[in-house]
Amino acid sequence: MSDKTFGRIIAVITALGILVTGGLMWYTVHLHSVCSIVSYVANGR
Amino acid sequence: MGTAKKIGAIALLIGVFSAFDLAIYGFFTKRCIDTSSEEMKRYSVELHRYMPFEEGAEAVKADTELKLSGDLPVLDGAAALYPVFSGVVNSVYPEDCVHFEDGEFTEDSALHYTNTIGAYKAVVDGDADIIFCAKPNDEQLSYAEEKGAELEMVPIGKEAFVFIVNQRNPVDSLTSEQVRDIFSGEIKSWSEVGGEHLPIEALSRNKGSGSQTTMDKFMAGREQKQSPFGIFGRSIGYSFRYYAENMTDSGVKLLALDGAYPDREHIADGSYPLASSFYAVYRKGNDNEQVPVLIEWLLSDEGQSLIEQAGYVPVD
Repeated sequence: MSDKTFGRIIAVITALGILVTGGLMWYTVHLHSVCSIVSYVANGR
Repeated sequence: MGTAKKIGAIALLIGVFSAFDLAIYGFFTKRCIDTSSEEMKRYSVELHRYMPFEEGAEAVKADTELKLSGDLPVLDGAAALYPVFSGVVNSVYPEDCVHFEDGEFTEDSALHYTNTIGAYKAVVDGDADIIFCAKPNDEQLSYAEEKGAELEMVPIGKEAFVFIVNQRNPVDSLTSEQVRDIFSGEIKSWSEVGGEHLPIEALSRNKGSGSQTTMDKFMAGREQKQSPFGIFGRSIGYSFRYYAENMTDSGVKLLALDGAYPDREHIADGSYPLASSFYAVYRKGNDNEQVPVLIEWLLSDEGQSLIEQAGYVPVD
């Protein structure tokens, strides 16, 4: 594997990772604002 | 760098992102996911489960000869009391008065459901004739005053305000003072009240909801604070008994308070300290002649029997 290919793979994985993590965090904040206190307690610890 | 090391670095990067996302999901996302119906996600209550006149639904029906017709009082109210006012409609209203489309009641329906905040606005604005709620908060009273509406509040039953924890939490009972200390941030760990060495996540509700108004009164001027580390521990919240126990598929544990468990027996005999009345609220001067008829019926043996059938405690 050339250094150029390796660099591209790392860049793509990093970009995808940031996108997925950002999306998950946005989704979590959205859910937190709409979920009921009872189901939050039930689903949590 | 050799190819093996490069592949290792790629795998490590994927692993780091995956571990981080799984941790976020496990700690935060999972506990926010509502596992119930679409209606419940939207309203925190399963409307269809207590829908009047619907086959297989759990709306209660009183044994009564009263049948309203003509200009029907529009009913609305809190999530925690939906089984009561859907039961009233199921018992004394004609079948064609409930209209429900796309997950909500239509404007011409005699049964509405907008929860406490919406219901108090509706009764003041004249969009509802009788609402079924806990006492209003200062903001709701101010809104009524601003609009020149005087509200009549008739106690029709009793319900308990309860504190809830996850089933896996070993704590079963707290004192009122411990609860105030937890929600004001003075007690931060479950170990201080006989539980595990885990932080306490003390949850709160949106202002104006029935349970938040009751909680504000219970806290007696002490401010509610939440520890940022609470998310890593076990949570505690509050609601009304019937709602927490029956209206959600939740599996939460109700805590005894000052040694009394919040069941119907302890609500009725007054030993549970946070048992309080709930009300049928209407605007004074409402010219719908069936409003006083319905209020009188709610206080009659038949009406009180409906309250009991719905799972609540009748007034003395």
